[in-house]
Amino acid sequence: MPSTFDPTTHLPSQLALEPQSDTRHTAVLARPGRQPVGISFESLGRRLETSEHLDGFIAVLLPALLRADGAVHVAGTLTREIVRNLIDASEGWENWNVDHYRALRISADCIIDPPVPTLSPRAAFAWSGSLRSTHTLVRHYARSVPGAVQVARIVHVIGLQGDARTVSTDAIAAEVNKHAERLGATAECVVTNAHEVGLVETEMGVLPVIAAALHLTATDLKLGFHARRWPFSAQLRYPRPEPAFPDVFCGSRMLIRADGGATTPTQMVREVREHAPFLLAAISGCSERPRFTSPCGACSGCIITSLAFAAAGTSHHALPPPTAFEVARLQWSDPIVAAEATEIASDWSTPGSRLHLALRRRVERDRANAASVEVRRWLASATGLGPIWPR
Amino acid sequence: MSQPVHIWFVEGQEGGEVVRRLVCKGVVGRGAPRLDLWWRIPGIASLPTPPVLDSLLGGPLLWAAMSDQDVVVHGPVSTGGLYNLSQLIEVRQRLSPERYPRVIEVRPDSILEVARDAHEPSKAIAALSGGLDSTFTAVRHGLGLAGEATIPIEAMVMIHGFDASLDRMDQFDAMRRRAEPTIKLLDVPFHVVRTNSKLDGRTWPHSAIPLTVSALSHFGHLAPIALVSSGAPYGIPRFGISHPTAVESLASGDWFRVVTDGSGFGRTEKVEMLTPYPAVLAAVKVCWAGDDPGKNCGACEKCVMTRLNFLAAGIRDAPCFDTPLTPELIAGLSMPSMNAVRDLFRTCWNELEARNCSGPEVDLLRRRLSRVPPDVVVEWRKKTHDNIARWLPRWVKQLIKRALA
Repeated sequence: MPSTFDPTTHLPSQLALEPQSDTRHTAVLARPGRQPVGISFESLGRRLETSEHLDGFIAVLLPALLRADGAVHVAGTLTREIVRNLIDASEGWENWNVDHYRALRISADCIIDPPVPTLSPRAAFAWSGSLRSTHTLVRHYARSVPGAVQVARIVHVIGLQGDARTVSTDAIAAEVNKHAERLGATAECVVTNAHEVGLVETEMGVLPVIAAALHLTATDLKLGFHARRWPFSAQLRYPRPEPAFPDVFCGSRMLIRADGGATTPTQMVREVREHAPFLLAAISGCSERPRFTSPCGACSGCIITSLAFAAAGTSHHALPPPTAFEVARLQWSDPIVAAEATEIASDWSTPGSRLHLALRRRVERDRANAASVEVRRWLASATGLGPIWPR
Repeated sequence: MSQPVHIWFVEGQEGGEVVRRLVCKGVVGRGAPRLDLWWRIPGIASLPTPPVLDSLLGGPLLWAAMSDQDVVVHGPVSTGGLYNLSQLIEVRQRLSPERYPRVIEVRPDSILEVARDAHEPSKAIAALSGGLDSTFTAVRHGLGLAGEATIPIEAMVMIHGFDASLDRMDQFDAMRRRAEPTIKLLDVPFHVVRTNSKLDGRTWPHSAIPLTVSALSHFGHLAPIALVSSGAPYGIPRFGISHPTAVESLASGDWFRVVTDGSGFGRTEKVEMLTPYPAVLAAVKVCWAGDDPGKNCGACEKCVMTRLNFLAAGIRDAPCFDTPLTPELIAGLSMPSMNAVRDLFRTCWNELEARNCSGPEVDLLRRRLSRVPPDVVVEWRKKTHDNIARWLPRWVKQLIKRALA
């Protein structure tokens, strides 16, 4: 259903760069009738090169632009590829939920159209410390993917999980540096205020911020990788648009590629253990506490991580194996948690343990529950008590 | 694990037209031990040899993956092409393990770094089948209706061997004639590629976009982009059965890459966008069920669904059908279970409901959709029926059969 919103009757938002320092880049989005938003990225380790284009900044602002504006003008240069990609993504979000999102019109002082880069032999990798991003890093480090590229740089973004306030940024940088050195790569820690200024949208996640950080810090490499946020199994369970997008944060000067998403958490742990066991201790899926601090051990992220380690026949240094009660309490309404728990249950190294059986019971309960929900909705639909139900 | 398939690229000229082949040896199963996939380009006597084979390999790889065979490519592949093709297999295997038993290996003779000319603007070779999706994409980009997202079209290609089988030249000619208004409107060079690369169709629809890109890639020297229309909109992203953009983009290589277009639009929106071009709208061909290859039968599921898209767009009598929409056509739709009607629900009902459409067809569709049983009930009913049937004496079964007849 097309939106009834007419962007031609609205003044476009304006995105412009602020005066830069050597290590900090800032841009301001001015929106008619609203407070301007200032978004910044600061490198902890080195001077940030001045980019000829603003592809990174337009990427990070996508959630804000989709919510309200419909049109944006960039005072500066964009590449043709990012313009096309973000317009396509915005049409996709509008197609998904016309009440929340608007298709975008993007214009710029200058739009350049060089050929899109080829897959270069060295790349920057976004690494958050999660199992998925660690696995993406390691499988390229181990060259276990055909056409894999060398891990040249690790980019870690600080400020997305309250970590900038609770943990010293120097301590985080030291941790990232330590691991990067062992992988033979350089490290780049970037602090951003994206979360504080409301640019991290639950439905879209942190990918626009990660993409922007890669655009700003890996211009020389022309290639950045990030782990897929949604595993394909979660998409099968609960289809949504973002995982269906191609790599929409690619520009004509830099490729930002999604990687992984097809491996079970158990297999990810196995591969990390085989190729880079020193990274196992850094892995955390905790949604309550910042990376490189002790995980809470109680959230679904921690329980899934712990289950993946147990299924691979090892244990996480900071997480005891979960109890059957904790497994039963897993937040199954989150499609990623449900999909990963189901995958772990079907990929357990030594099946039959009490923990494995508890997980399998939980999976069975989910299946039965899904069937009963289908039947209830059908009955409601057939009797006219509920909406039509094939969704 | 089976022996690997070895693939060679061969090109030449036959009867004054370019013919390119992938010679596949070591094939297990149907076609064993040698299969030739070919592409013929009528009216063109020579073409520059592609620097890498990336774009030709997507279809054969899926087919080798179904046979559980690794692939050895005796020719160059680009780094990006190799990475993407490997990811394509990995993802497809994850989504459909029943079709692709394992993630096969792709081993090329050489990996090349290839780059386009630094001053080459981004233009596209567009696929045109004459269907609603591809007509929308061709018109949208050919006329610059996508604003800053427009990709100028350098040439259009219609493929013979996908929708129309190779032995039905009449069907293909009718398809081509029917698309004339669109071709005329866009006024860009138009080419035909004949190919047997669909083979027996066992990798279809997963191979639809990779094989379309293969056909378009013969003109890859003219433009770096293969512009193809998307199937499922982003709003209904079903990975298991359809071909989502994220997966299709993996048919890209460093030399020739895929852009799938139109995922941000429902089919009704596509009809709406084409409304100012009545000749183009009348030329849309969605049906392969009828006897006359030049017409839409108007009664098959695809035709009825398209009619409903037109109805949602406010066009009761769609110009691409010869007869009007009637409730009987809705009554004839098969709705055995929820999974079977999800596309009907999402691509038709949602659009009708969102636009507050009414009328006897809409009422009937609502009534029928509201009663479609979930798959779990259908399975249970079948199992129960089988169980009961096993215990009933033959004479009772015959009695029931007679009563139901």
